[in-house]
Amino acid sequence: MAGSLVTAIPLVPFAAFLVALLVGHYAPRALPRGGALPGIAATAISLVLSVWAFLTVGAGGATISRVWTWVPAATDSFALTFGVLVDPLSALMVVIVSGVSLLVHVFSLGYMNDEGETGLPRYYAGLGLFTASMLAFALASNLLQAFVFFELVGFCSWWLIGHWFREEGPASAAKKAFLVTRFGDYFLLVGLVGVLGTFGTAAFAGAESFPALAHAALEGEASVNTFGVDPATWFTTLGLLILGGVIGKSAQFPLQTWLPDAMEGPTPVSALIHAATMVAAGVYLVARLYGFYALTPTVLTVIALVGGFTALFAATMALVKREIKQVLAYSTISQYGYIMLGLGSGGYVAGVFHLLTHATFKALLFLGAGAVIIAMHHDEDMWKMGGLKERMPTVYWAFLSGSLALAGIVPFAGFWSKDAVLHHALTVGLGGQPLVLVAYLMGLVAVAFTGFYTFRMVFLTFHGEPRSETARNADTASANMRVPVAILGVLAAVVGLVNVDPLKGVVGERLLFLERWLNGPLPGIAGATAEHYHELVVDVAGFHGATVSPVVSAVVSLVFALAGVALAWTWYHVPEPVEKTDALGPAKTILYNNYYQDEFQTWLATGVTEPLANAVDVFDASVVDGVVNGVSSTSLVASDRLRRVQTGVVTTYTTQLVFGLVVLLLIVLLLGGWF
Amino acid sequence: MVPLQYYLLFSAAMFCIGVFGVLARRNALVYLMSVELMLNAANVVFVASSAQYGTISGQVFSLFTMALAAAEVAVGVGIVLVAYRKFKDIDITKPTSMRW
Amino acid sequence: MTSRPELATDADLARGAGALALFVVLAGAFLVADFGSAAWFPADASMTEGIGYALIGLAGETPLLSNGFLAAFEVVDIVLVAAVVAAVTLARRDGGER
Repeated sequence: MAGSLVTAIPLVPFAAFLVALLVGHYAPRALPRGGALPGIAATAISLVLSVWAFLTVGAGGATISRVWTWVPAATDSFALTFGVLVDPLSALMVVIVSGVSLLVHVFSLGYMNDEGETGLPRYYAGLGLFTASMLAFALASNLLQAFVFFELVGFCSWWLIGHWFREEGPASAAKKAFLVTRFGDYFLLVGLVGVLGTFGTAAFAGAESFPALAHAALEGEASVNTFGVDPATWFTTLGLLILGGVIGKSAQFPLQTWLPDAMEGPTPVSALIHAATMVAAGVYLVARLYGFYALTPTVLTVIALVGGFTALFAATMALVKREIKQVLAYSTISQYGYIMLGLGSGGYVAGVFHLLTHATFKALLFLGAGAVIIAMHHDEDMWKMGGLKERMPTVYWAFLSGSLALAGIVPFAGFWSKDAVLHHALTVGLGGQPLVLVAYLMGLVAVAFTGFYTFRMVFLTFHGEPRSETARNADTASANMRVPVAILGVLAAVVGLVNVDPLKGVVGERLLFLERWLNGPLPGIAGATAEHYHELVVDVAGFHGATVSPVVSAVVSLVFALAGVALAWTWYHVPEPVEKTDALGPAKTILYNNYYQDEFQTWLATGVTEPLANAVDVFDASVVDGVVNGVSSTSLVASDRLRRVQTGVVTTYTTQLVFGLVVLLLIVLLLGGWF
Repeated sequence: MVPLQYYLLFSAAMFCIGVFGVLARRNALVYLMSVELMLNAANVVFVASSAQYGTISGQVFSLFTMALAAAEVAVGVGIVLVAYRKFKDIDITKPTSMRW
Repeated sequence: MTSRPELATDADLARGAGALALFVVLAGAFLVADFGSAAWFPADASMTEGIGYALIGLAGETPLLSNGFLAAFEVVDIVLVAAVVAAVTLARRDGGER
């Protein structure tokens, strides 16, 4: 019952994918709006089912069920299965994914269909497959299944980024996205194999799950195969390996280079995949495995440091970008850094909260940018925009709501969640984890940068005088673009109120909805609650929190954000803004070139890997092939020499006969004892 | 009777002279004569053994080998004739086309 | 053309060493063996008569010991006929005289 209806959540968009693909290929005229309507219908059904699942879990109906056995268990071995895990975290995720996907499908009617784009069945098929894979990933019950769908969403990302594949840019960007994430996924695969080999199961939750087994192993109550290494070290290694895939997929340093280039794809794709859902897959995996990660303080510190550093690193690069989507791309990288910072410092609820709010306001910002791009006829350069506030009011107000959320201004969504993350990092940092404190400081500085680049973007795009003919004649967005944007605008304003952490002392714990949700009733799935994770973090990982008033921390981050906004106001909220990037001096070139990260990674491929591969190839051709050829040439040479026995002269043969006879006689006589 | 070893030694000497002729001589007719020599060496052994063991089977059988030797020489000379017609020489090292 | 007989100097002596080796081995084998004393024939038996009887299969008619050689006699007879025919055939080819 519950299991089978929940299985329908990813299957319905998959059916839409098949419809768009097959009907679109064989009978394109029969497909209404190029496949948009099946997609919209499917995601709407998924949303309804997800909300139903959400409510069921809220009433205490969390379940794990097995759907399909891939490899049955042999003797002394384990089975590989595919299953469904419905608990508060996954129910929340499927609601987010199906909701954003529905809005993106509706938006695409305006972005793609109304603009007369070709290849629509291919586009909607890609969106359908992506939605199906992401939903299946969110509902995965074990790491192997999660890995399969992890790769599948990576494939859909390649497919959709390269939608306009006939141009060089999108095709190359698609390949880059796939290859960089694949590089990280390789580590995840090794970690997965390690997990299966160590624990014999890759299940996420339940009494038999590997986080539970790992905890038991550390307490000395169970024994797992750690290949002769101390368990804590081994679990740290596994955690770091799995983190490789997370860093690739969520575009953290050093694998963040693919995300800005992925903006070559259509904007609805950027909104869905590269803002709200696919990049969320990485951090969702960390949250899903939190029972395991909470046991390893080293990995938690690494996550926090990577997150904090990426937040700052990407924010500095967003300061100088000219195209609106590039600013948003770097902003995405930076904000996922915050989520990682939150998760890494032991703040499970804070991390998931920022994931929720970020999905909302980033999807909103991308869709708004999409509407602007359509109005500007695909010119993304912000210095050619201006004055769009009067011409596109709905989009402007929604975009402003999203920007306030992104910058973290009270009472918009981003303020509550970002502050929750920073507060948690601060308490843990002051409580005896100096590296986490360093990450906190990096995140705090990034808040100022975030405020600055966000409002630079808003002012350049919407305020001031129009700076080009296209901006002067910009049309307001069509209804099917304005409606999703407006919905998300409202959500960005209010979704932060689900967990008003800083006001806990005032309004009481009853209003911390998200925290209560993640602690939710879980008959049958012990150990997947936020409280349990908190216990593990404090007891096993040793992350104690110092007592810092959340209000103080909130005020500090708010001040930093307002400082950034104020600077942007001073420089750009004028009728005729000018570029100020030259004031950066030599830093400008470095930031423009993204710290030369792309060149470095290309050099790693061509300057390091390729010569190494050539050397190995030489070894293979000369040594390995040489041995094989040598064996054959020995036989050939020997036979060439041996055949000269047949001279054709009769006396030679008789000579050979006689000598042979003599030898035989000698042998027989000697062995027979004649002498 | 002289002890049998001497007859056998004499026969071995004859046989080996015949073998020498087969191995080392180039004339085809001398080759055939050497083969005759080898056969006659065998005949000597037959007769000597028949006296040693008191049965005349050896002598009777030597008649048969003589007859066969004659037959074989007849056919052999015919072959030498045909080979001469082809190679214009009775040197047996000349025909070497069946080789590597 | 007449020429006096000459020592064959075109013999390949290296190959002939095989014959020498064979003689050495055979001689060594024979000289070491011990055969005992010879059993001679009865003094008053006729040898040629005995051989004749043995050839035509009447080996019991003679006091000398023997096997019967009738079948071998017939076979050798056939072989000799075949040899004569073969020799004549080989000599006749390419327009030989009748």
